[in-house]
Amino acid sequence: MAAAEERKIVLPGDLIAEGEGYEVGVNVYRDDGRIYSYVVGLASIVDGKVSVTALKGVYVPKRGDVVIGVVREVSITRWLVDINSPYQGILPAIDVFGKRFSADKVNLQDYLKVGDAIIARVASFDRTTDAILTIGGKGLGKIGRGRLEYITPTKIPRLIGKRGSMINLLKKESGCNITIGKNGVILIEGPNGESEELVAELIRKVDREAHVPGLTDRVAEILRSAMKRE
Amino acid sequence: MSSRLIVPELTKRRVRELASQRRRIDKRGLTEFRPVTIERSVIPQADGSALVHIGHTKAIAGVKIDLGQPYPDMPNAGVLAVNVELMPLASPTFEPGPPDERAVEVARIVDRTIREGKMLDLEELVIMPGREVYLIFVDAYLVDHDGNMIDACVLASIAALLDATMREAIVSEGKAKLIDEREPLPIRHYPLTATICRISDTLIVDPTLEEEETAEARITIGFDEEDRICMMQHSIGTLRYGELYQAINISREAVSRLREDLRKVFPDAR
Amino acid sequence: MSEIVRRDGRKIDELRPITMKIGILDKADGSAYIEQGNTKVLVAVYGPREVHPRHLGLPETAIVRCRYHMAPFSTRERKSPMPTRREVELSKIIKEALANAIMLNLYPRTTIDIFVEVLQADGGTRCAGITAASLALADAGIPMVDLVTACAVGKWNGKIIVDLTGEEDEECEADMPVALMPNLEKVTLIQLNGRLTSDEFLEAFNLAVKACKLIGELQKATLRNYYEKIKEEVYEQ
Repeated sequence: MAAAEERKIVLPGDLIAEGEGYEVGVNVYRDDGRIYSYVVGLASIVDGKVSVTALKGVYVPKRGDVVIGVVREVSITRWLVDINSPYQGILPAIDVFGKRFSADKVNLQDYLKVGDAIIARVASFDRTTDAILTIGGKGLGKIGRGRLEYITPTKIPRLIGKRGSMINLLKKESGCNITIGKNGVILIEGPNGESEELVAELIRKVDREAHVPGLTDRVAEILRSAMKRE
Repeated sequence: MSSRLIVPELTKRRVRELASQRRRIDKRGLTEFRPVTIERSVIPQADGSALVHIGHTKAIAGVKIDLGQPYPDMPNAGVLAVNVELMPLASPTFEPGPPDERAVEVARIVDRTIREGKMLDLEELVIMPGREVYLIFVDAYLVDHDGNMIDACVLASIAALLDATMREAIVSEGKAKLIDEREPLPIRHYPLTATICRISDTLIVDPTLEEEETAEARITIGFDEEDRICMMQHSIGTLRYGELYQAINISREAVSRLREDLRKVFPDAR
Repeated sequence: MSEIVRRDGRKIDELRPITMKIGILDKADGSAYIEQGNTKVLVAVYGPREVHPRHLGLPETAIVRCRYHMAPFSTRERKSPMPTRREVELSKIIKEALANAIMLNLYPRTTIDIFVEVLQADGGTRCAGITAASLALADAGIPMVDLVTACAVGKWNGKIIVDLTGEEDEECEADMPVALMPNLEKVTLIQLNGRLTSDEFLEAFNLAVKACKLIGELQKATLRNYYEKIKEEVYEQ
């Protein structure tokens, strides 16, 4: 269908494809042989599978996702973590101190305080419980330095780009290390404040212009001219 | 009746199965009300009152009439005030406290049925324009909730108004006061409502609690004695256009049968 | 059908001028603003988000909460900011008119909160509120089977008219707010205040369907233009 080929913007209730032989992907529903969009987004049909990439939306945790969260509450046995989602993250004390953790010997505050940011992996989640997090693993744990930036979670694929083209470009040209939380929180660690700010600004640009073709080129141009000035 | 809080999914499934075969759990016809009884003058303290049963659902309404000031923007009209309480004794799901959104919605439906159905001639209730008018308070209490609280509260309120008399007013030295002579209220029309639910694509009248909890859609439609539509309130789910037309036809018939029940108690009602 | 009979010079089947905007509030997940004649309504949507208090959350579905509220300065006489019974009822029916379109089962244990704030009231505030709230929900990225579009019709001076002003609303013999999902051809809200014969009802309802179609097109254009405008700005640079 034309709508899908041009990656045109579709709206809730818009017809995207009609007839047999189509598979229902994300953000679409089938009714009476027709496939409609649920959301405002960009439609695509890949190998007969109809999907819409939403232009806005919240993060729903998925097992295995790397997320970046901020501690919002400390209890005697666990940390509650804001993971930029309708569902909160829980980091159990035993994840950090092991099975022999005993609440009367350790004060969790000494390890992570309210306001501390962490990189974590979603260990389990099924929508009936909160997301259980773990920080055991390479690259996970408390964040010591850098800057956080936020992006609409549905636009993370655009921030990564085809085969990592966008994120690699950002890393290479800015000299920053960039960690993407699937929940739309990005950690930028750069050689200096200016380069971190530049990357943050470009992430906001990706967020705003995700639906406009030629984004990688525009980002590349800004990066190169900024780097030249230094 | 049991005091369970939620209708089990098994019961809902049965209600749906039956509806898809155009049958009901209590073996009623699709467009039939449960047995309706109306008792008038049940509260002698009130100026008018009625107790209504629709199946197991019971509502009692009382009318109290007083003198007072009209609304500033309506100096030439008496005041009608309707209140509905979903009593905690009527259902394990009702809590004590100020009326919640369900009670407020039912009160507004009853109010609009009376007001927009032009049941009372409010201008006849003026004693001194802008200064003294009759205040008509209608309070409907749902005392047992087995579904279709809307029609029960409407019917009880209408019956209580038909039952009511008001003390005559005299004016002396520029002041109005009520004397012991009584007269009927200025009744002009006789609006009544019927509530329709859709279950498994079948429309039914007067849902029981189980049916209401299973319903995909619900709409209440009011008619006056000349079959004019005088109130509509869509309160659950969505309706296809055709279903809306069908619901109007079904409710019109159901209201005209309900009207016969009303006439048994109030022979003057039209 | 087309002679001018109304106080403001409109034809009986003519809408007031309507403008809509989305994405106008920074903190809300979705927002919209509508002007329909002199009626002005601002809507914000938050969510899906955690429910507080948490026991209100449902295990298999999101809940929707809605507050319809009229600003004290929205009416000729100052309106007390305390919610009236009318506002309580309208909050409930607006919530229901919108919830029917939302895929609530995708976000169990969460809430979607809708705030409808009437800034200036000149008739049709609940319908303008629903139209704008549906835009705000779409702006928030909340999955819906269709947009919800609303418009009031009524009987005024013996004629069936569309989109009543506050003055027409006060004088009318009947007014009937209607909300639809125009693509799916389903009614999500219908109320009637006043008296209509069955034939008048049919005429009024058909007029409402026609009006909602037009307003629905405006809603779609508003959503598309929001993103098209970003595109244009990018290309201009």
